[in-house]
Amino acid sequence: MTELLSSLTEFLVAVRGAQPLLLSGLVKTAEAAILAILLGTAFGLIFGLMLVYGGKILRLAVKIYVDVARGIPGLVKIFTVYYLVNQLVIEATGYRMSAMLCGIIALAIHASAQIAEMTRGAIQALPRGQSEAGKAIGLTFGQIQFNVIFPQAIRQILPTWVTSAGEVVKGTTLLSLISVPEFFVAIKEAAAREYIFFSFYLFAMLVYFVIIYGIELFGRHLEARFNKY
Amino acid sequence: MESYHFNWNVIWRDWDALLGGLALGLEVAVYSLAIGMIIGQSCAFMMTAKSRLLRVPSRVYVTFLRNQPPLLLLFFAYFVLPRMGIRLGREESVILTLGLYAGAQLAEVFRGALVNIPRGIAEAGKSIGLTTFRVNLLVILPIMFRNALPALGNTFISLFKDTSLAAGIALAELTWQTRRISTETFAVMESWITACVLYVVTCTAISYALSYLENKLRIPR
Amino acid sequence: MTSQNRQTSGDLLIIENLHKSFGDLEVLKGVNLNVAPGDVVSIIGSSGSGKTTLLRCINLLEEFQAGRILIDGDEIGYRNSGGKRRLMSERAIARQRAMTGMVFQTFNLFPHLTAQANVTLGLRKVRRLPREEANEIARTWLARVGLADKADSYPAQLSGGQQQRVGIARAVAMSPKLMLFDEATSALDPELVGEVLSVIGDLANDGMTMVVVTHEMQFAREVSSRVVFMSEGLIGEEGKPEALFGNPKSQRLKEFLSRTRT
Ligand SMILES: Nc1ncnc2c1ncn2[C@@H]1O[C@H](COP(=O)(O)OP(=O)(O)O)[C@@H](O)[C@H]1O
Ligand SMILES: [Mg+2]
Repeated sequence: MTELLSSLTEFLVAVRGAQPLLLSGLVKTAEAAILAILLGTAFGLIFGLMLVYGGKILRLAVKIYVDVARGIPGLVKIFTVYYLVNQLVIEATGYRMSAMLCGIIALAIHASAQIAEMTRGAIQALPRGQSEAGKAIGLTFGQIQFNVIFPQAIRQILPTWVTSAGEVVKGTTLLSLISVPEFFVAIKEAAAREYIFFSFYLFAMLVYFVIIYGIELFGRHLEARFNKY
Repeated sequence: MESYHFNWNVIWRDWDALLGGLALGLEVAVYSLAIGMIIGQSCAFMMTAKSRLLRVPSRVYVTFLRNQPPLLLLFFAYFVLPRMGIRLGREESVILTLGLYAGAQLAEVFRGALVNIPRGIAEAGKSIGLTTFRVNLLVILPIMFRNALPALGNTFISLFKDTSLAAGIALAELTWQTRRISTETFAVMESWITACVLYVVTCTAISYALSYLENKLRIPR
Repeated sequence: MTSQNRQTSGDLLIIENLHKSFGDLEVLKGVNLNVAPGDVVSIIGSSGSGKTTLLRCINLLEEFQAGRILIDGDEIGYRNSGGKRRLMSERAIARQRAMTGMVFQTFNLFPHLTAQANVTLGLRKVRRLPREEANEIARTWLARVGLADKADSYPAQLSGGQQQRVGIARAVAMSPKLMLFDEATSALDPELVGEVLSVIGDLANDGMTMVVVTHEMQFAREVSSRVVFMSEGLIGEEGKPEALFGNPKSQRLKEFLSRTRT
C-alpha cells in the first residue's frame, strides 16, 4: 500500500516535471485533430453531395477517390503524403511541407472519404416521397435540399461523424512515426527521461480515453437534442 | 531543381519482400480476428447477461479499449510489458494488441446482433427441451454470427489495414518494407505507389470475397 | 376559399390526349379529362390502371411524352419554343406545382418538422409569407382538420389518421386551385379511415375543386359530382355517380364494380 502510494507520488512529481512537454504535445495533437476534422468534414460533405447529384463522370471520379482513400491504411496515407506527395510538391514549387502539414492532410483525406460515403448513404436512404412532398408544395430543388433533405440527413450522419472524429484523434498518434511532436511523442519522451514507463503509458491511455470517449458522449448529447421526432 | 527519375527496378528487386510483407499482414489479421471474435462474442453474452458481475467488467473493457489509439496499445505491449516481465515477440505483440482492440469493437457488433434476435426464438429452443447453454450454442450463436457477418467482414478489412501499424515496431510487413525501400533507395514514388496499389487491390479483393461469402451464408428470406 | 369566387369561364383543369410511358411500358394512352371549378371528380379503377400516374402528371411529379395539361387556362410543365416541346425551368415548374395540392397515399410528412412546421414550410418558402401569418394559417388549417392540439407534435408522435390530416392541411393551406388525393386512406387502419374521409368530404362541401383517386366506393358515390373509371391507361367511362354506379355500360366497369362491391 505504502509502496503504491510512494510510486504514485513519484509519478505525479514526474508528470509535473514533464508538464511543459506534455502540454505542448497535447496542443499539437488538438491542433492536428481539429484541423483534420474540419477539413475532412468540409471536403467530405462536398464529395458526398457530388456522389449524389454529380454527373456521371464526376460521380465516378469521386467514387474512385473515396474507394482508393478507404482502401489505403491511415499510416500508409501519412507516409505517402509525407514522402511521395511532398516530393511532387517540392518539384512543383520548391517548397517542402512540414511533417505536421503532411499528417493533417493525410488524416483529412481519410476523414473526407468516410464522411463522403456517409453523406451519400444518408441522403439516398431518405424515402423518395420526402422530396416529392416538397415538390408538391412548390419548393424548388435548393429549397428541398435545405429544408427537407439536409436536416434529416444530418441527423443520420451525426453518430457516424462522431465516430470519424474519434478515429481522427486516434490517428494523430500515427503522426509520431513521422516525428511530429504530438502527445504520444511527448509521453514517450517523458517516460524515457523519467524512466517511468507503465505509469506514463497508463496516463496516456486515460488522456486519450477522456478525449475520444468525451467526443462520443458529446455526440450522443447532440443526437438526443436533435432527435425530438 | 532536378526532376525525378523513375526506377521501377528497385521495386522488382524487392518484390518478394513486398509480397511477403503483404502475406504477413494478412496472417496477422486472421489471427487477430480469431482472438477478436472469441473476445467479442464472450463480451456480447456478458454485456447482455442478467448479472451485474458479468455486465460491468465487460462493459468497462469494451468502452475503454474501443476508445484507445491502437498504436498506443501496440507500443505498450511491445515496449512496456517486457519491463514488467512479459516478453512478446513483434508478431505476437501485434496479434495480441489488434485482437484485444478488435474484440472490443466486435463486442458491440455481436451485442447488436444478439439483441436483434427475437426473444421467442430462445423460448422456442427451451420449449423443445434444450438447456439454456445449448440454446445459446445451437440456436442463438449461429443466428448472431450470421447477423454480424457483414460487420465482421468490415472488421477484418480494418484489421488488415491496421496491421500497417506494426511498421512502428519494425515488424517486416508491407508498410515497413515499403518504408525501408523508399528510404534506402530514395525511390519514394515507386515504393509508395506500389504500397497503395497493393493495399487497395487486396482490400477490394477481400471485400468481393466477403460479399460472395455473405451471400452464401445469408439466411434466406 | 379561393376556388369559390373565381370568375373563370370554362374548366379549371383540362387534360388533352395525355400520353405517358415508363420506358417501353405505356401507362397513359391518351387521357382526356375536364374538371370544372368546384367539381369533385373521383377516379376509380383497378390497380395498375394508371390512376396514380395521372395524378402525378397533373402535379408534374412525372414528365409526360405527349398531350397537354391546362390549369386555369395555362398550360403547365411544357412550352413550345420553335416548334419544339420543352420542359419548363425548374423554378417555373415549382411555381405551377404550388397551384395544385397533393395528398399522398403514404403521407410523406417531413419527420423532422412539427405538424405546424410541416404546414408552414411551403407558406414561408414558396408563398414567402411572414412567420406570423404563416403560423396563423397553419393553426387555422390544423384546427379545421381537428388537430389544433397537435400543432407541436412531430409526425412520429401522431397516428396514421392524424398524419394524413396534417398532410391534407399542408396541401390545402397553400390555397391551391385544385386538390389531388391519391388513395389518401389506403395506408390507414380501417378504424382511422373515417376521420380522414370526413375531412376530405368537408373540403368538397366547401367548394374545393378536387380529383380524388379512391377505393372507397361509398365515399365516391356520396361526395363526388362526377366519377371517372380508368382502365388500362384510358378513361373507360365517366358520369354522375348515380349513373355510373347504378347503370354501368361497359363490361369492364361491371366486372370491376362486382369485384369491389362487398
Ligand atoms: N416509376 C415507374 N417506373 C416504371 N413503371 C411504373 C412506375 N410507376 C408506375 N409504373 C407502372 O405504371 C402502371 C400504372 O401504375 P399506377 O399509376 O401506379 O397505377 P394505379 O395507381 O392505378 O394502381 C403500373 O403498371 C405500374 O407498374
Ligand atoms: Mg396507385
